[in-house]
Amino acid sequence: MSRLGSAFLRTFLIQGSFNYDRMIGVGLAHSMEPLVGDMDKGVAARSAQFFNAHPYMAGVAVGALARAERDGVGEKHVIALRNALVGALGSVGDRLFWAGVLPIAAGIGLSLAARVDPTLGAVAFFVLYNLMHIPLRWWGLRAGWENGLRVAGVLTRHRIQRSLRVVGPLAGVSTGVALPLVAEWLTADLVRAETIGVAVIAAVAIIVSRWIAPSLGGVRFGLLAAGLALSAGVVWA
Amino acid sequence: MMTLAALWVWGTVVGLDLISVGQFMLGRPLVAGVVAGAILGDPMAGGMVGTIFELFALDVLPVGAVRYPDYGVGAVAATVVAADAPPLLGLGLAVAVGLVIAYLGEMGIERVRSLNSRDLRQVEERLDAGDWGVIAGVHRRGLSRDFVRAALVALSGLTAATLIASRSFLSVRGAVLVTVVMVGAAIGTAASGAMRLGGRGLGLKWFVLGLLAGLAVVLV
Repeated sequence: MSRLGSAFLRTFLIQGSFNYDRMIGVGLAHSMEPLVGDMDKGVAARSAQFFNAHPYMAGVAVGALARAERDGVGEKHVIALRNALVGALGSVGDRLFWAGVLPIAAGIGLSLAARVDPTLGAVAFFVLYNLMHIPLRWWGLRAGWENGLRVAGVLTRHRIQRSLRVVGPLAGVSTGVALPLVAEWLTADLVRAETIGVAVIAAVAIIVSRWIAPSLGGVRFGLLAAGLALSAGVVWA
Repeated sequence: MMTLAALWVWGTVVGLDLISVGQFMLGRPLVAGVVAGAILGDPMAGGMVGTIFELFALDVLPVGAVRYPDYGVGAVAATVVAADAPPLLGLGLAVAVGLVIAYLGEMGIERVRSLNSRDLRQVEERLDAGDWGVIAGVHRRGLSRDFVRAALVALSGLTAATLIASRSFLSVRGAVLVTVVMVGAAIGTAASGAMRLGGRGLGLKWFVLGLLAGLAVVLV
């Protein structure tokens, strides 16, 4: 396997040693090793310093930093590039994937699960998501490796910026369409009063998580609701 | 026994995929639930459970070092409770069990990250001296910790789910009540997450537009 191929496979494990001191810094160094592992110890030491980025976009940093080290641009420039990439790759990746591709694919998957078949929904979600995810990882690594210090230009290219503008609205529409379809499916066997109960609880969940206790999070609200419902359910025999 | 072993393997894979290996979205509840349902011979139960947890997961924005619940493993455990039970009666209890497991997974992530930090501090000098072997070692141990976390959370979930599935402590009315509350909580959580993602401006308008389109499909 080529050195770039080996680095590519390692990027899939980049968060394997995530920690609060250096975030994915050690994972980044581990991914860079096939490209710069034969260089001096200073490269290894620099590569494992603090770093954080969206995991799918971190390949850009793996390639670009490895290229910069190979080109011998000097420690100062490598560190500057590393620091610049932390914010940029995090921002682009979060907006593109966590706030874009993921809700789009999830919305499509949920809609298909509710209206056609859950298995089809799961398969559609998985395939659609990874059709974007895996090629982007490879593109990012190659773009970084080919451009080195000039990699910032890649991130401001028209296609990336246009994608960022498109995915947000699509994510909103996709999840918006999915919610009524899923609600209809999940409440199909309920009588009218129970369906109204679902709507009331949903409204309470929105009010609590949006305005009363935004830091509570879905799982804690769910646990609280489950605890109350189970208590009432046991008593209400 | 073979079914439980297969579910344990699947639950571990799902837990690993969440953060440290791949992030192919095998750990996404819709996928995790459907596969768990297929293993149990009840893909519809897995699909319904997966869908409810997927709604909860839409609230999560995994940016920076934020911790998040392991909804995928939660969905696997919940499917064990929901399988072969009438949806109206089994779903709510299943989701309640799955939420506990998802939260357990979240606490496990916190623990793994803290242990990784401690490990890193112990070898910091050698790391800063530039030793590729130390880098590989820290990384390998981090992956091993997450593997153990995922396996333990999956095992705990399956054990709890198996015990709960074999007991009936809720009346029919009580079981329906829990289902109503869990489905409502999931829908509300997803709507809240989507509204937060959309922000106050154009994004929210697109979400409302989608909502209206979805409602039109339902009514038609």
